[in-house]
Amino acid sequence: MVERWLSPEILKWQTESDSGWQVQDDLRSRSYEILAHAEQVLGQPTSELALVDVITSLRRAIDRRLRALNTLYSFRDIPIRDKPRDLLLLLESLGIIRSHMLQKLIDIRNPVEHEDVAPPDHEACKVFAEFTWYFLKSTDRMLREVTSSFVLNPAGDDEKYYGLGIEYVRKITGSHA
Amino acid sequence: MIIENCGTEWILLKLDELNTRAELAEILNRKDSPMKRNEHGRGKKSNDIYISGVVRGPASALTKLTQAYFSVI
Repeated sequence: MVERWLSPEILKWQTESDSGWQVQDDLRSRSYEILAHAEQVLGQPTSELALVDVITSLRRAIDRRLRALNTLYSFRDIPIRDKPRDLLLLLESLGIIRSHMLQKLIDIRNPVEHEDVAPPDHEACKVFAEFTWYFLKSTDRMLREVTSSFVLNPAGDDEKYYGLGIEYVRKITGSHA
Repeated sequence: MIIENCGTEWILLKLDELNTRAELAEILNRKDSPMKRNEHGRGKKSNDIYISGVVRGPASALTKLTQAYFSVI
């Protein structure tokens, strides 16, 4: 098979989505339903058990979203050697999320759920609920449309230069013209 | 921008196709296929080169291309 080598200069070119396909709404909506439940509980006078419910619900909303993303993008199949095994760290390495707050929520939820440890107070739970909302909002776009291909072009729209089209099929292929 | 031998950090493409635009058009016509590839892209002159292949590495380039993919979503 013929081999050619492309200059790493192309990695500095402008990127733009080229084609994609629409995703069904229900892949996004379930996490919001779970978040709405947590917010409803937080909106009422809360007991410690109610705050346990809030923390576990927020964790479920996030987990549901991570699963939905993984269903569409199969992050573990991305052909990068030595990528992080942990999904959160993998997503962070790809520039999709920041994992610190997510990890913090997971670290809090596990002893609350499994060891009957007291949940964070009402104010801290409100912060986690708001963070969960931001997390869902920041990943909504990835669940609206899946980009099938994108283009890399040098120097804006000047067509005297060649461009590069990349098709993303869980392994990366490239065409150049 | 494209070379035939390995350069440091240059991106390896295993080519499926390497044709001029005119050759590509002829191949697609022979297959009785409407022109589907690169219709909106660059390289519209008949002697412009169209190549297509699989990106094989290096790992750093694959990572950056994957990051570029997720940045356009």
